[in-house]
Amino acid sequence: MPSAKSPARKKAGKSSKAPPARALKFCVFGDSHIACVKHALDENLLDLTGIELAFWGAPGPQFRDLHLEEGRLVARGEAVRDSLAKINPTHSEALEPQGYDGFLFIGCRLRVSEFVLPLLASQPGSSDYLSAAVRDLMLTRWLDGCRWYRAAREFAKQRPVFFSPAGFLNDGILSEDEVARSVNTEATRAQRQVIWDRIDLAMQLDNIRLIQQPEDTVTRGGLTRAEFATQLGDQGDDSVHKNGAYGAMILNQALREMHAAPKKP
Amino acid sequence: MSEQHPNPYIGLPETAFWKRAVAARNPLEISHLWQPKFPVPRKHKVITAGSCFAQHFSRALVARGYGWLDAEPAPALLSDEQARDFNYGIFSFRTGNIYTARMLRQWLSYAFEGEEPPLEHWEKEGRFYDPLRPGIEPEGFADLAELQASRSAVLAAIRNAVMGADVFVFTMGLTECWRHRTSEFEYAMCPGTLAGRFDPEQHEFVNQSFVGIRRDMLAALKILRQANPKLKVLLTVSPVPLTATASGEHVLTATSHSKSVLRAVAGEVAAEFKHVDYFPSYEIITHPAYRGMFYAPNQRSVVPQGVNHVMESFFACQNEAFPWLARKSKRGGAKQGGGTAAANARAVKCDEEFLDAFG
Repeated sequence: MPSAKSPARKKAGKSSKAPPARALKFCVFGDSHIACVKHALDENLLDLTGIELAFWGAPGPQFRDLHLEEGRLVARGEAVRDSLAKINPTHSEALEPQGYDGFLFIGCRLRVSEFVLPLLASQPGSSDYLSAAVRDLMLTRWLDGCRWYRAAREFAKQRPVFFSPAGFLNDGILSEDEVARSVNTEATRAQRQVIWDRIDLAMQLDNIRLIQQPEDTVTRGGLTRAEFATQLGDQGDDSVHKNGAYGAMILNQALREMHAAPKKP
Repeated sequence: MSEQHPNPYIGLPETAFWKRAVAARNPLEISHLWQPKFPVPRKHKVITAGSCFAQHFSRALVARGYGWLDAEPAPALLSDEQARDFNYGIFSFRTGNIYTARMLRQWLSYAFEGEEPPLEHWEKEGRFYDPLRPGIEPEGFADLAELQASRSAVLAAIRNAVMGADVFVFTMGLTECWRHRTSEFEYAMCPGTLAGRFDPEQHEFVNQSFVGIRRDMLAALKILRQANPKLKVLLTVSPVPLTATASGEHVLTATSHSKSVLRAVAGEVAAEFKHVDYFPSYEIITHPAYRGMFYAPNQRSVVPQGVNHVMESFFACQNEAFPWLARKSKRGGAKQGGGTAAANARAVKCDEEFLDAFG
């Protein structure tokens, strides 16, 4: 997966007398969830003006072979290094925060469903009600319990880091019994936003910017609309992964915020 | 040698005679203490509530792969320790300890009969405490709305538990309690201990009588029966002595009085109803035949070996009375629930410990 350079940037470089502004080097890091951003790139859905995009990460069990060591992510194991050599040949051994101008951590085993769904079920009057003290503990455990979130925290000490947790499970895959058990299908946008705001606040304390799941992709209280589910394999049984349209929304949002952020001198 | 005339004692089993059933035996080999009325197979859903000692029952059931029903489970994201701190997974619902028959009746009335819980709440340092279960959240609730929402959740959990269970194990703990003088609402703890303010004009000490406890127990059983006609009830009496007494008696004699009354009510009620049984965990721990071996040096806490012996006795008596349970158990192996390690690691929580420290 080679780096993707913006055509717009190249054009700007030819027509201007002033030295061309250096493209921002931006890295998408994650587990198999980085695929939705790659789909977006392949489908030409990304606005990469002034951006040099790269990917770093590994799918499935290999992802566990990426470890935070002295502030950088290191690939331990031949298989994961081989994978990385294909995805990002210049950084197949390790990913350092200094290697890029900004990062999007996507997926990374931080699953929205694990934290947001119990809270959506915990409305006053519900038998699943949880006190604010319990909800706070859950949030801390959810974030601190994810070692890639902890890695993001380290990276954020040096570079802008955006974090997009793995989105709600895809609608139409889970059985209706399972949906009834685990999803408050009556949950509203406002109820979700209260929870997103709480996550955002916690991440801000770590200097990380949350990219929340776009509301347009959410359905039935706490599921992802089927049209944003991956079509890969066409088995219709992937409840987790998302498609290019979803990946584009996430990355474009991160890049908009990256561009809007005040530049450090 | 005189000829022995026929009499009702002839032909009785060994367990009917002290000499052979107790005196001649190593205490750990005293057996057949209980003839259960109904089987408790693994597939049954068992719910537990009551005094501190009831916690051991749920842990033992979980450890042996029995179907303990947790109607108000902890969120998966909490650690075992955090869950315990917030009183999840201790009883089948987050009531905290239910020490008396009156408290059980109160909870069931709120859950099933539309009785309104008291409006009273306690405030301390800006936090809100539920007089029904003041220790349920370590730091109390953020506000009154949160307290009430959480209370609604526990009432729903009680309904789900009672209606979904096969067996309800209730451990009777105390006769002494504190009540509101006019409403007669019974507090889980004396106001002014964990939170609240003690006011002798409003709050009165009551040492419940046999008659009163029996009346409350019958009322509670009636509500349970109406909610779930197939529900069996297993009563036990906590062998844990009182931490403190407000009766004016010595705490040792007060303990003896309380436990004797509770034991008598449990026995009477169990004799009266086919669907109610009494399991003698109290005797196994407290009886002089066991020489106090199951108590810690403070002569109050029950050591793990005691709990283990109680539960081994429970399962042995069950298997003896219903041999098919043992066969099924063998076939199924020692099924270990997912939460076994957590359950074993869980220390018994007891509101009374607070009284011990601050009382």
